[in-house]
Amino acid sequence: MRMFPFLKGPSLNLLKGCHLCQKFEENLKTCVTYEDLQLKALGGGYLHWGHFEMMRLTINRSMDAKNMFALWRVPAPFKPVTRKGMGQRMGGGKGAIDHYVTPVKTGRLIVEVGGRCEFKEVEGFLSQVAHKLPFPAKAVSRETLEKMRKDQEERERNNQNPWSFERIATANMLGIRKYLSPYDLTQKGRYWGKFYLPERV
Amino acid sequence: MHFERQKLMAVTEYIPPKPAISPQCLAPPSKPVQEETGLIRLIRREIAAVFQNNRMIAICQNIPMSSEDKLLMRHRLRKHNILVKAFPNQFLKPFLEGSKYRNLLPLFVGHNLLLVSGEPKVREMVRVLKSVPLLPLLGGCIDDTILSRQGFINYSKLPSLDLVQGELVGGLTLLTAQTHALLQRQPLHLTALLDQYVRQQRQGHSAEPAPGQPDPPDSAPDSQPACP
Repeated sequence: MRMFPFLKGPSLNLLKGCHLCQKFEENLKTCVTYEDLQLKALGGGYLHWGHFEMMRLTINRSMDAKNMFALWRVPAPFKPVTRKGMGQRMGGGKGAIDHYVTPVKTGRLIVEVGGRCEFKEVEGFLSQVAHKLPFPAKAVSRETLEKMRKDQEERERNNQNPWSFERIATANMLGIRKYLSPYDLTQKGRYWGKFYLPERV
Repeated sequence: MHFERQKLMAVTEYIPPKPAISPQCLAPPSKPVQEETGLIRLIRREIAAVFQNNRMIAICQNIPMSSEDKLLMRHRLRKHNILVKAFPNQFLKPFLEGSKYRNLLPLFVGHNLLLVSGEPKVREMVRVLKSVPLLPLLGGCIDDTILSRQGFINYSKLPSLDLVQGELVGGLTLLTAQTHALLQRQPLHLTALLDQYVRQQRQGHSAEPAPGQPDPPDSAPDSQPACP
């Protein structure tokens, strides 16, 4: 993983139609098992190179290289973050680029692990990594994702509260949209800034 | 968060559905029966062995003394060959229910210790327990006889077996000894009188008329023989 984006070579957008990407996808499909053991973000934040190194080292140390493989599902840091020198007064233009980060939104997959392995073997070190990330994250598998989704649907269905965020916001009851954002109509009170609120229905 | 938004979030929280019958009313789900581990079997065997081998079993309360005091007590009891045993009530109670010691069950409530020994050395045990200011002796069983705390104290006050046997023998032979004495009394009296007469004759021959001899000393044999 690079600390800085490689800007001198051809950009990834041009490669999308290229045979390299196709081959990569073919490889994914012809693997022994589909990787369904993932690290999922439950909040938003920035990942910088230190996080990437930590993840890389921990996963490489803990996984069984003969039977498992791991893939990055986030790009290398590409978003520049600027900093002014210490003690400088306000003004004088924007600061210089200090480092690069990868922005991560809620629900994004960070790392996938696949191969001849079960969720229980992998859950250990993936949750270790998850706790070290700057946002709340969780080790999931296809089954646990399915379960989370089903649980959420069931909560929505058997909620005894006659008032729901969605209902009040879309009907603009009490003129509450004065205090809500237009995004709340779609987010339905489950997101607040970079935070994901899993207990909300 | 704006206060209005906070209020909205508070109002639209999730309320889970309540079941028709609250789980407190229903019987709790039965726990899976735990397999009997080797330790439990060992404890049961030990309890059975203790009740088999020992003649005297006393149960006393497990008062919270300092451990050194307890150790001293154990040492003193061990000198008289009395072992101090502690078993969990959980296993002791069913064993007692099954065996013939059913009447000891009400004693086994709370923390307790079993003092067991082969020979019923009650006096020493009571003495050792008296040294502790509280005598937590609850009761026990000696030779399949259930005794309370008072019973133990009485048992300790009893004299030893030989003494008791001697007393018994003496009591039984008392009547026969009495009859023997009664039967022998008359001829003995007769011989005593004759002896006295002979002596008098001899003295009468040797010394001239002496005044009437005083009565023989055993002049009160005609009174009723005092029956003890």
